[in-house]
Amino acid sequence: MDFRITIDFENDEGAVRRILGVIEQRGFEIVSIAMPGAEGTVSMTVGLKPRGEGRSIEILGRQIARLHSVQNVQTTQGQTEFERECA
Amino acid sequence: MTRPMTAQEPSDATPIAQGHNTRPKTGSHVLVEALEQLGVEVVFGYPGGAIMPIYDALPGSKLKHILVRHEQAAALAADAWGRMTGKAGVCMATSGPGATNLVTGIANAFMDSIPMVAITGQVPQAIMGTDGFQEVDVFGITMPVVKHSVILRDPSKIAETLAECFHIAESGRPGPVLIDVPKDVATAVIESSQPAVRPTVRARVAADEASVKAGIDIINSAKKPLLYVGGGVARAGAVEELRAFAKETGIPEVSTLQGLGCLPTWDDQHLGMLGMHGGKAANMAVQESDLLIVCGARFDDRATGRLDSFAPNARVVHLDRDPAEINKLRNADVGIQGDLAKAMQGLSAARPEIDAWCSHTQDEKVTHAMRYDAPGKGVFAPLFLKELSEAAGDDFVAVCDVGQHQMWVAQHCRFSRPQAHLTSGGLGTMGYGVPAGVGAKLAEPEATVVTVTGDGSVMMNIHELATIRRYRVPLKIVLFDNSTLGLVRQWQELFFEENFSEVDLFDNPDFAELAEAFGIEAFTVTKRDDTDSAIDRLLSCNGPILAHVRIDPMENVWPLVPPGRSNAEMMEA
Repeated sequence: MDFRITIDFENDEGAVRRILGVIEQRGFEIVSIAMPGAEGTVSMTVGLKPRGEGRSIEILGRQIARLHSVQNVQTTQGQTEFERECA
Repeated sequence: MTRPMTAQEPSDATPIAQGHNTRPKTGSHVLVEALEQLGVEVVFGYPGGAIMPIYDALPGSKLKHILVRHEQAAALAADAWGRMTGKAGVCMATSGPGATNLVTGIANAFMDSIPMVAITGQVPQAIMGTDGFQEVDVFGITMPVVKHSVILRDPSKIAETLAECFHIAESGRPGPVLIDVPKDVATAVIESSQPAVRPTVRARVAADEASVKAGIDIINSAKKPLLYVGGGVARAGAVEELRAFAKETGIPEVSTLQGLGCLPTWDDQHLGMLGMHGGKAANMAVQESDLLIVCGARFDDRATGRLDSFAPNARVVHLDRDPAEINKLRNADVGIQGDLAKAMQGLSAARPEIDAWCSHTQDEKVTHAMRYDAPGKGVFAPLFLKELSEAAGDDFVAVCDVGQHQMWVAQHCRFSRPQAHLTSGGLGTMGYGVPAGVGAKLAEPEATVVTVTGDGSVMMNIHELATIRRYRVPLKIVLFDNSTLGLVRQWQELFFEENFSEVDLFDNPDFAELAEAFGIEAFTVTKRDDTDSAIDRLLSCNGPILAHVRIDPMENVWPLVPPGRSNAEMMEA
């Protein structure tokens, strides 16, 4: 089953690499990436499919959401609220 | 015979001012000032090319720099500082190999959610990306094992960036943060700078009331509830609330490796550690329970064994400050995300009727208590550790290496608080014990800090005996020597048809002589009858001391859940 995940984030140095790294390390294959060019807050939509069984897109969304640069994550199974730890 | 200290050797870590204030203020001075402003007391590190400007700014500062003998030790000592204090431990190293040598320690902190700030020198920005001398992309290398990382590119943002990085490391679910500092930033002349001020600390996020109410209801309906406590309780500063909850409800408790000490290990309600080398009473209670109240634990495979047969009859209430842990490996009937202390307070209203269950678990605890009547006259490590921790009392802090001795410490030592047990849990880093012992003892000088290591682990950071000597760190080291990689040998015996492959360490040095060569008092113990006198000597020594304890190479750690099996299938001696 393929999923799509949309991530809003501050495009700090390394942010894209960090997000894609989490997706792959947590057991998902990236099949497409769309990221309209922009500075500051950007939105990236990633198509992906799990490598094997037992991979939850909801948990992946939460794992991405805890990255410092990430502001919001929306998956095909719903939205993950992100709360920034720094005031 | 230990080598006497000579007059030329440094007796204190505080550097001497070298008149550097006649030179212009640089980014390095701002960085060092920022560390001072953020309350940093001790920095563990090792100088080198790209970080020389920062070391140039150290003399005359309030920072106490501990010169280790390998950068990995700096990171592991900083890790221990973070575990003891709850504040970010700080380590630093130069670019290239200095930075890569930090990586294991950074990963160690990441796996166990330990606050740390690692500062690395980097080649100048103009050289970055050109394969310069000692250039390595440590920002990229460490990305999977940091909570956050930055390349500090703007000299005008040094203090601001450091303040934010410390806040990130220490807040929420703690973790390591890497700050990579290009040399041109470190040497940039700074006309004026703002002080480092931490971001405003946000009020603790209270757990959702409806979830807490659902948690109370499910606890009240349970007949066999069980607390399953992990390291997240200590990291969240929720130990007192957990203890109050346990007392209010009477619910028995099992602990992960990282959760040991959250309830004192001598508490009646503490049934022991669960998992691969957990106690039988603890593992059986999990299997029999009808409700697991999971506090700051993450269903690690070493704790659960075969996951699909773990606690087969239990519903789950899962409390964690990190929402990514809830439902990750085991679905929760009630997930409570937010501040653990507040959640525990809320749940304390529960009043389950569990007298029969409590009585049963106590009976099982007595029936399956650890035994110390090993045959023979050689030193029995479990008994040695039990008696050592009891003799040291509430001041005892065990800093473990990784291997059989690590499991014996977890099984047999007495812990009054979670900070009494420092161990590399998630990563399992051999070599952790000695440098982490240094970090722990410096963080809490009044504690009786004992590094418990093995003959395999100790050789991975043996050079840190020089650091102990240099700063006269009164660390006690118990080195169990079975001349083998014991835990690997045990697995080869049990699961690889006794095909012993590359585990024989027959050619170890004489560890007592080696310690003495580093200038550390040392002695060797070979007989069980000498256990008491050895413990007395260890605890009465005011300086650093190493006890080289020879043990039976064939001694195994029991009980044991075979890999891939249910926790109900425990092997025993």
